Parts: sequence; structure tokens; C-alpha cells
Amino acid sequence: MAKVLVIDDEELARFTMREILESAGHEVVEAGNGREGLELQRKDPCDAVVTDIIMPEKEGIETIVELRKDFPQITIVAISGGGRTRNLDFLGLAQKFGADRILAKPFSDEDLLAALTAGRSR
Amino acid sequence: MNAKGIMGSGTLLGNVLTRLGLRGTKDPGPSGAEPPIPFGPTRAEMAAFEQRLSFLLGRWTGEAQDNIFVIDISKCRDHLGPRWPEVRDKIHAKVQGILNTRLTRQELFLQRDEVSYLVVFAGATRRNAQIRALVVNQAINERLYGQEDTGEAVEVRSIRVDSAGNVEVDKEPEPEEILDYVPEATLWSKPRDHSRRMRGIKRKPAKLDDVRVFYRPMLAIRTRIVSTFMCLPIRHVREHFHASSYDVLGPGATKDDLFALDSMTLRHTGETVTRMVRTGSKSLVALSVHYETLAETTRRSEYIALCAKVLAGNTSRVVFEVVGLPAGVPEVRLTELVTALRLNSRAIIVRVAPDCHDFAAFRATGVHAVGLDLYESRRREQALFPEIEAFVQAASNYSLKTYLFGVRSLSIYTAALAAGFDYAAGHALTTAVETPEKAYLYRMETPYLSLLAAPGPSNGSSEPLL
Repeated sequence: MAKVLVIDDEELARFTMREILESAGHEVVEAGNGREGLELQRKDPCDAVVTDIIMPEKEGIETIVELRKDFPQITIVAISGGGRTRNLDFLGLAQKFGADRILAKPFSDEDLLAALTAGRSR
Repeated sequence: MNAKGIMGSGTLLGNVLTRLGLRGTKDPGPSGAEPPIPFGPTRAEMAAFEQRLSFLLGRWTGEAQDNIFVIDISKCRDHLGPRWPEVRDKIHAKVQGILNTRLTRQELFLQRDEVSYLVVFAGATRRNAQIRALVVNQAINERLYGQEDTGEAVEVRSIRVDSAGNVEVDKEPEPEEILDYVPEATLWSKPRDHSRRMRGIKRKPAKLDDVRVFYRPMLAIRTRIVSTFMCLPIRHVREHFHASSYDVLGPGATKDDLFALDSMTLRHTGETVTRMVRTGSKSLVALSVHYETLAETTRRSEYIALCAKVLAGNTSRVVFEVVGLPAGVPEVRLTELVTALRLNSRAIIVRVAPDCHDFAAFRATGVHAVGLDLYESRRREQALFPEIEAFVQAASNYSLKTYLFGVRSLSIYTAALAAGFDYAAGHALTTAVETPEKAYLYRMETPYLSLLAAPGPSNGSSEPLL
């Protein structure tokens, strides 16, 4: 079981992911944007991070870069809905900059847990 | 006494805080020697404040003791009378919200007691700190009372510390007095607030000699090509801070001053485009023209005549960007402007505020693209994101192309990409250049590459860096 930091500016998305992760026995910490997430991680490190990409204050890719710099061993799962145009490869970019696994929204409970497990066994 | 004087032993800083009544806490701590301050800081808050203050002052060599201010809302309590206890928490939440959003990383605050806050502007000169305090005060007044100028509803006092550590609390001078000392307008950027902010204050605009012209590469998001360079008149204000847009000339600028600025940038663009043609560059140049220059017939005619002269033969390389359009400008007036400019350019684009609703008129008059101006906005990104998305949706209803001006962070970059903007420009994406370059491909990951090399996290600055 892991301590997982969930970073997403949508409260409902955070709530849903918390439900999924806690039901699988993980401990969950939430942040509303990348800046807040990094602060929490630096204060009390988690084993894994699930982060959205399009967020105010500090978006996901920038967050991933900083997480990877400061916590090289951490598992990072990037998630994104792709925005209104849906033709921009945010997740590909996230992977290029350090995400272990990527998930396009919407995803199932199993998808999230599998991504986390696969990322952790990397 | 310098900052080290305050820092040196730590005791002088402690003395200042004690004399300001900040050595007590509301916690029933074990020492018992320090009387509790109702609504004052807890021991933990106090310790964090002292630690942060020591850190900031230790990094800074200015006269730190001149940059400590008290923001006093006691008159607000007096106005509310018996209702105060009911609304006190809400009012403090509002004040703290403003302080949290307005203060930079070199600044900090602490709630001193039930009706006042201690604010420290650690990285600023005395004058800049006074202006910062004034701006924060205006924001609090606006939030609490609905207007910036409410007499003395919210008071700002400065703290003076002498070499012996004695503390005096002075009332700050009137805004007019503070502003009269400051030769440059550095903090005002919203043209809509222009007259209101400067009510009754006569200021001289900056000189055109101080203005330099740069070009900001504009990214076409769909094709990921940079082939348009936005002409950007800039005035150096201080290190890492350049005024642009309406701030270039400052709040004292008249319509004639704006006309002179527009004429100067037009001449500069004319020379630049001629050089570009000579060197075989196919890039376009977009240059701003203020509504004030175009609104009045004589000035407009003069400006259009200058266009014909300096852009002769090269008009297909030029895009005019109209800035400062008032909301609800009549379609017939807009048609006049667009038609006049269109004769001397490839296209007309219009930069507007987030609350613009004139898309139908823009479409009807042949405007090519409408730009959302984030340079003007100092608000939090949380509030900007919905506007960014709504803006694209509203413009696309009228088949207008869209661009985002003033992309100051990677968050806004991704938001622009996700929202579906056609173009984007800002210091988070590109560096301004002295001469437009040839068109080039811009990879989506380009702005992130610098993060890999950076020694630490980005500073999140919202200043218009070059």
C-alpha cells in the first residue's frame, strides 16, 4: 500500500480518485494545483503522485519536472482530458518529461490502480 | 541602520516586534510571561513570521526598517458597530485573501490584532514600498467598500525604527504626495481604471526617448510555427521590470502622447519591415495602435497618411493590432477604423479585456482575430482559467480567430492550448527580440526545456520579462 498525492484542480476528480485509491488500501493526500502539491510533497513526501496536466498556478508537466528533480524515485501517473481541442498530446509530453504512466480521462477504477501499480513496479 | 542592524543579533528585530505588541500570543503558552493578544498571532504563526522575516531581511541590503507598514481596519470595525463580531471573520478572510494574492515572495504579512496587519515589503526601496502599500490599501478598500478611494476607511501607517530600536508609527502621506515623488508609473496597467486611479493627480508621462522597441514572437498553435512578431514598445523601469502596453508612457499620458508613441512604433516597424524584405524574411509584423489615435478624425488621418508613407509596398507584411477599444464601440465607428487600417495592412486584430462582448461587431467589420489581454490582468490563474475558456468559445461563435496576449506562465500556456486559442504570445513562451527573425517551428515542449536546466523551481514571476 502506498501514500498517494492526488493533484487536480477539480474537486470532484480528486474526490473520485480518493475513493478509488482508498478502497484499494492506499492513503491519499490531495492538492488543488501543482504548486500546492509540491509544497505538500516537500513537507511530507508521498510514494506516488497522480497529477492532472491543465491546472492553474502550476500545471502538470512543470510539476512533473520538479517532482522528478527532487524525488527521483517517486512514481508519477499523469492524467488529462486533453482540453477542448483534444488534439494536443499533453500526456505524451508528460511522459517525455518524467511521468511513469499516463491515463486519458475518463478512466476506470482499474485503469487508475493498474497505472499506479505498474508505475510503482517500474 | 541597515538590514544587518535589525538582523545582527536578532534582539533588535525582537525589540521591534515587542514594541509593536507582537511578543504576546493568543495561545495560553507555558511561559505565561507574555500577555495574550486577542486575535493576534499564535506562537507558531509568530515564529514562522519571524523566521521568514529574518530570511528576507538577511538577503537584502536595503533599509528594511523603512518598509514595515501597518494596515489598520479599525474604522471598518467602528462603521459596523454591533455587527462587527458577526462579520469580523469574513472581513479578515477578504483582507487576507487580498494580501495573499497581492504580496510577492519578498513580502509578508501577519495579523497583528483584531483590526490590524503588519506588512513588510522586504525587497523594495522606501518609495516603492510606499506605493506597494498604497496599492494594497486600495485593493482592500475596493474589496470592503466597493471603491478604492474611501477617504481613510482603511489606514496605512509606516513603522519607523531608530538605531536604538525605538519604534514610531507614522501615518502614511496622501497618495498624491507619494505619487508625486515617483517619476515613473510602474504599477498601473488597466486602461479602464486609468482615469479613476489618477483622479486629481497630475503626472508627466514618460519620454519617448526612454522607450525601446522589441518584437515578441507569436506562436500559431495549430501549425506550431512562429511567423508573426508583435512590435512591443517597452520602457525599462527597474531590473527585470519593463512597462509595456498602456504603462509605457504611464498614467499621465495624453491622447497626443499615445499618438506620438504609435507614430514612433509605426516608423520603427516601417524600417524593420523594409529590412526584412531586403533580407528575404517572410515573417509578418504586428504593431499596436491605440484607439485614442484612431478615434479622432484628424489624428486618424495623420496616422493613416504616415502608414501609407512608411509601409509603402510592404503592407502585406503588416498586421495592425487595435488596443484600448472601449466596450460597446459602435459598429459604424469600428468600420471606419478597420477600413482605414485595412488599406495599409494584411489584417486587423483587436486586443480586448476578458469581459468583452463585441464579437459580433468585430466579425461584421472584418476583424481577423480577437486577442485576450492577460498583460492587463494581475488576478490569480484560478479566476483566469474559466475566462480563458469562455473567451475562445464566445469568439468561435462568430468564427473569429483568437490569440492570447501576455502568457506569463506555463499553466496559462497549457490552458491556452487546451482552450483552443489559435495564437499565443508571452514571456513564458518566447524571449522578445530586437529584430524579427525568419519563421521557425516551435515545438510544444520548448517552454519546458529550460526547466530541465534550471537550478531550481521557477519563481512564478508575473513581471513582463524580456
